This record gives sequence, C-alpha cells and structure tokens, in this order.
Amino acid sequence: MEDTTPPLDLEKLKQQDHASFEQLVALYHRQLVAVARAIIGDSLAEEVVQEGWVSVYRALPKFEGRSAVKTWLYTIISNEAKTRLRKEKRIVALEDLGGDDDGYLSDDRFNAVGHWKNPAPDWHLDSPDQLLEEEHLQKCIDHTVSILPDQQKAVFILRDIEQQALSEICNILDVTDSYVRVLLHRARLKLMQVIDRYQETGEC
Amino acid sequence: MLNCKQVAHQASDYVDRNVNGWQRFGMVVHLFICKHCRRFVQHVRITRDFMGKREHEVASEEEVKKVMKGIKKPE
Repeated sequence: MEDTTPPLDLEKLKQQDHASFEQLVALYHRQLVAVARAIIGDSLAEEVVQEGWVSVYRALPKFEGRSAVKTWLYTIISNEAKTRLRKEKRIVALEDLGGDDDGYLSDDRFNAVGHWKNPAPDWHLDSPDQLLEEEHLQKCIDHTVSILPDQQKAVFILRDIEQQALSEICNILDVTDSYVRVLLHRARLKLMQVIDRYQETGEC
Repeated sequence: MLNCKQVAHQASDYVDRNVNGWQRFGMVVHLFICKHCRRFVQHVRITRDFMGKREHEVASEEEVKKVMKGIKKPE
C-alpha cells in the first residue's frame, strides 16, 4: 500500500505520546468504525470505537509488538464490540447469502449451459497504476465502498485495503472463512461494475 | 469441466490462491480455452491490486479531536 504519511513511531506510542497517538487515530479510526459497524451495527459503532480508543491508549505501554499494531487495534475494537453486543443482547442480522448473488453475475449474463452470453467488456485502462491516475474514478470507488453493506465493507477493508489474513478477519468479525470469501468477492464485483461503467462512459 | 458461470464465481478465490489443487487445475484448463473468463479473472486481479495500492483513508481533524477529547477526560 502506498502511504504518504510518516511511519508510526512505536516507541513513542508506547510512551503514550499524544502526537503519535493522534497519528494512529487518523490512520485507523474510519477503518475501525467500519469493523465495529459490521459487528454491532451502525447506531453503537462510533461509541464502541470511541471507548476502544481509550482502551488502546491505556494498553499501549504494555504493547509487546507480537502482532502488527493494526492487527492489535482491530482485535481490541472487535472484542469491545462483541462485549457490547452481548451486554446489549442485540442481534445484528447477517446478510442473506442466498438468492440474488451480486447483480454483476446475474443469470442473464450466462446462457443455459453457463457460458457467457454477455461477457465483461474490455478495459482500456488495464493496470492498477492506470486506474490510480483517474481522479474521477477514485471518487466513484470511494462512494461505492462507502455504500457497501456493513459486513461486506468491513471484509473488503480488512482484506483488500489492510491486507489482513483471512484467518485474522474470521477472528475479528467472528465469521467463517467461506462467508468472508463470499463477501469479499461480492464487494470486488461491485467495484468491477463501477470500473466497467467508468471505462465505457467516463462516469460513475 | 467448469463452465464460465462457475469460473466467474470462483474468480476471487482463484486469484487469492484459496482453491485446492483440483479446483485450480479446473480453472487453469477453462482459462486456457476461454478468453472471456481470462478477461474476467484479469479484471478481478486488477481490481484487487488497484485497491491495495490506493492511499490509506485518514480520519478528519474533527474525528481525531473527538477521540483525543475522550482520551484526555479525567477518570
């Protein structure tokens, strides 16, 4: 991942240095809220993360660096959200994995024997670097990610943006490996749909 | 032999190497003969790699201030 921000100073963080902590918050707050939202739902996610940051701050002097800081953060927030979920006795509905798969791979794109009837269009921008140069496309992508269903969004952020291992994601969200893989594929398909449209029309 | 629909549904697992040997073999054979699926799988790969290269989304100043306010609160 290309990151223009200065690297985190772990020693300063362990000393609870405020400037370093602010940097940590800036880097991970939104991603942590997305993860909390997937576990406990929208209404309590911000509050859980807010409380989670206090726990993180207090625990920093004891951070031993056995895992990456971001994995440690996700684990703390996920534990906070799960504890809160039990306390509130809330049930957050999982997405329905049956039925409509993803739109992008709907039945009308394939013929009766499962071969493409309506294949994916050619992309003239056909490398990650070329896509990165398209400013308007970045806005389309940001918007699409922002409106992904909560669990899809959390899985997508954790895997494709934060590059967390599948097993870590299962632990963080308390879901199965196959469920994570289905959600990830669906999220990617939604983005591919946006990229298809952008390549054809120059619009979202 | 896999059809295009099955390949399209397994495309993320294939590019992430989350398939076993037989599944991989089935995908490779199909991709060898099907240009539409090769393109589709390539799009999945480009999308994944593109997202991994994008800049990290950072919180706004207000969001950071709100968190820091909570940290500074007396116990």
